[in-house]
Amino acid sequence: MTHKLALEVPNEIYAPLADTAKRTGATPEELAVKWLAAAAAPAGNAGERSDIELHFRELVRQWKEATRFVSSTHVMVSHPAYLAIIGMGKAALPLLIDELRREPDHWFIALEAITGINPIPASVRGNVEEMTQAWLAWAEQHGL
Amino acid sequence: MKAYLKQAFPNLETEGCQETSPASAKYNCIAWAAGKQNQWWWPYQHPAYFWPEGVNRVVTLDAFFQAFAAMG
Repeated sequence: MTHKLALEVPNEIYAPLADTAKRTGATPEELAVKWLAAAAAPAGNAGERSDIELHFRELVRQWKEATRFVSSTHVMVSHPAYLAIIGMGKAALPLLIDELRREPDHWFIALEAITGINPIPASVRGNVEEMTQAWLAWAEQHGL
Repeated sequence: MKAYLKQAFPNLETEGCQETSPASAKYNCIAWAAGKQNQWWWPYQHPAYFWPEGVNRVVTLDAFFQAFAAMG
């Protein structure tokens, strides 16, 4: 059984939704349903999951703010917030993939540290957009 | 101009600086200097990161000279 919802969303919500849809080939409506499903996931350990996500978001905020003007990959991936995200282990994996979908950034080292694999082909080295696509394709194959 | 830019570089405004493109994680200053706006250049010892072939992946002035020289 399905229900129809007519939603009005402000531009600050719609813009990243449309952007993610454009990048992933999904429609904004499909993404919205996916996000709503995640938000409405049944109880269980929802509280714990939400705590993990809040912690992750705060670490991402700290890292982005601290590395805003940084060019050195060494400095970026050794920042305490970045290391803390790696330290979260597999719990951070779906959050990192979502973050990569939302706003491509230098999460490749963390993703490899957590999964132990590197799906980035040599031909796209350094190309953040294509490196992102390689990781998103991997995530798709693994149901993330 | 964005608040964080004003805060980090307060003289930008008085110098009449204008933001010509949004901040991007797609390229860094080294890549930009090499004419690339779709790569992040850094001698990080990981194959995911671009650094010109044959140039040492070390953070030294010499390695950066060699990286630009490798462009011909």
